[in-house]
Amino acid sequence: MSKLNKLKILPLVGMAFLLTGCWDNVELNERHVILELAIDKNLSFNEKMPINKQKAYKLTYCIPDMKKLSGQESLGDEVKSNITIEAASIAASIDEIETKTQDTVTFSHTKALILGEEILKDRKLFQGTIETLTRDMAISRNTMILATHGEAGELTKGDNPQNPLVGMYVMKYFNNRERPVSYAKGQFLGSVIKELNDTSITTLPLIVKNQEDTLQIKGGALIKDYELVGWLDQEVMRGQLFIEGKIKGVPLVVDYKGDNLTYTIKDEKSKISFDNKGGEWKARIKLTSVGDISEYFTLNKDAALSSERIEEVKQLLEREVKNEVLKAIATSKTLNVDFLNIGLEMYRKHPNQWKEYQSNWQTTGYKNFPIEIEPTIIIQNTGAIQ
Amino acid sequence: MFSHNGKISVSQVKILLILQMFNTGILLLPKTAAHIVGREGYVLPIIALVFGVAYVYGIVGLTEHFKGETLVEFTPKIVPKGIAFIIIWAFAIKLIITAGLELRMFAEMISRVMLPKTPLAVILLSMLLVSAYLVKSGIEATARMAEVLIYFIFIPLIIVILFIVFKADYKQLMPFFQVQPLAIGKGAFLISLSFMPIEFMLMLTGLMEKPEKAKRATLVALVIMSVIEVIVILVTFVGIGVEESKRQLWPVITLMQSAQFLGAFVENQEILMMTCWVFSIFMYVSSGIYFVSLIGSRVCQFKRENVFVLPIIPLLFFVAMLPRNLAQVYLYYMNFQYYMGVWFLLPIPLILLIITRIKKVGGKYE
Repeated sequence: MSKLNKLKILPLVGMAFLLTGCWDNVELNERHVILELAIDKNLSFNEKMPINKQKAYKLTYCIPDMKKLSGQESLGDEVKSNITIEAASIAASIDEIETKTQDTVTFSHTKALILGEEILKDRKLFQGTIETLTRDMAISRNTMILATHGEAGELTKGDNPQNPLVGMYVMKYFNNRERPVSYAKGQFLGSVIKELNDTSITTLPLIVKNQEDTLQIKGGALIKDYELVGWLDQEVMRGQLFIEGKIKGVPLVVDYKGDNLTYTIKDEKSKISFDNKGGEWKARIKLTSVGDISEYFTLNKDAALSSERIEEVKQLLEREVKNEVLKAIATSKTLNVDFLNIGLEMYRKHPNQWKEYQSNWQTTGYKNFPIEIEPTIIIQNTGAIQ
Repeated sequence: MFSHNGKISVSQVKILLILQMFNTGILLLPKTAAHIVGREGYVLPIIALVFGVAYVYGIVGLTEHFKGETLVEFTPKIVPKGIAFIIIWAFAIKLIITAGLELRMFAEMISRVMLPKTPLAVILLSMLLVSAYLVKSGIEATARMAEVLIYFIFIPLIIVILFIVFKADYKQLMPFFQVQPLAIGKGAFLISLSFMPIEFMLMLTGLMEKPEKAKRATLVALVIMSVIEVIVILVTFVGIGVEESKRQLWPVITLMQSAQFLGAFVENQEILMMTCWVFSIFMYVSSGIYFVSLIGSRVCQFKRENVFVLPIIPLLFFVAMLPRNLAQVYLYYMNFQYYMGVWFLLPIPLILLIITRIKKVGGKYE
């Protein structure tokens, strides 16, 4: 090889050393991966201070000890450490948390955002929170977002026997495709933003600690115009899920001739249509559920399932579905908040008709709008043949 | 494929044009479409095709009179040399400004999504120097690179889109047929400006092995690009919603961020889109540098085409660094595209074509 060629190789070798990594890289094990972030309103902030000094936010960052989590030895005592920061803005809290942590904080794997009750009641703070979370792309729009009673920080700080990290718990909860979808509607940050853009109304799944001190996700927080309207119980949430066609793996228990009969819905579909018979517009919600009779035992031989009796059971189950959905409709009409998206469906399917309702939908229009439920139950498997 | 004869094939032209059109505009497209006509924005690229076909007929109609010649050679045959000089240099300046702003938008995006701590100048210079290296080897090398990169750009993109379409909310597109025809017309014209790289055909036709197939190649690239644009707008609308498409600066990146992958172990998937798009910007900037360099060489009648490649780098860098911030570069980019984008797409080629036919100059009449 000539001298010139050797000289040409030198810069190439040099480049191989220089271009193999970032000059300011931070190794993964030198990062604090924030798996859950609890956002609360700081109730003790001083309103007399200038607005940029008012520490209106109270954020609790949960920093997991990755070594401990993966079963390795670690200098830390706990599997997670919680740091609460009071700050004037979310960005300012990140700046402050960096002064309290040994490693760089990262949100690239954040699994859950939990919002406390007070921040949900404060329209400006809540809207500001959503705006900030989506402004830069630090937090993924696929992050689950949940609401809780009281302070979200207190919920994340507490122990949870199944999984000490609430973020991991939430991720596993909603990623589990075999879990029945029945009591809470999972929401991503992105889907909440989409719903708020479409109708100004959304529901957030509710995460609470129950009496046994374990985490439970059921029910929801009803939000309208970035403000908490009220809490929805699990039955209302189930009605909403029925109307959205998202019910899956849900058992329905009915009293059939004095014995419990359980029908498990494997899959459910919903179709909302509108018709105008007799000069009055009404919504017609067709709900088709497919499932099996998963539990039925009777000592009464006359009550054993025959084809005629299966028809009776179907009618009984259809009444049960109808009652559950009517509960959700009644709640939405009492609160006068169309979280079932009847108005949105009307706008999408009958935009000209919607113009007549649009102006008074939020005052009297929705409250007085007739909605009919037409459930259909398909029993695929009775579990026994007679 | 031809070897080292400075000519490119018909399929290479198609690929080059597709990649050049798949530039920053594609990331902003759903935002523009949503702003103008709302949820029916996906129809705009189809109607924009009408404008696109007019651009193709104007440009290729002109160049097919002068086989083997570029704008530099045939313009002085059509108009007086002074005017020809102005037209040629105006085209070169336009290419420099467009490529510079494109480069800056690219750097802003990379800085925001991938390299927040890296200075903009470093990102810009890296891209410029790599592009210059490619361009140094001429149009054949650029075309061959495009042939390789097209797979790296579109295969990951198709995979990501497939993940989105199965979970998308198609009701976002309802109600249908609610938009005013006037808004559609205005929107289609604006969207047609995303076909701006067609103007490269003023130079590229002269470098084709079979220039008689230039019109067909450009039309095919145009139709493919329209279909890609329709898909990108549709998927963005059903993925993140029409209102969010209006609000977000980079709705396509937001869409990629919203995509859910099975098992949820893949995160930060927007990087996939960024990677595809970096290749595409690379092709656009390379072409910009190449054609400006080619104009310089041919005007000065230099034998080598790449003499001006390195001197152009500081010019592009200067244009890219001129805007003070993202808001300003966005404003400059949109305004430049809106006010200056169309000139070399239709009015100038059309005027030159009319004069060509009146004066009966060019190969067809000689």
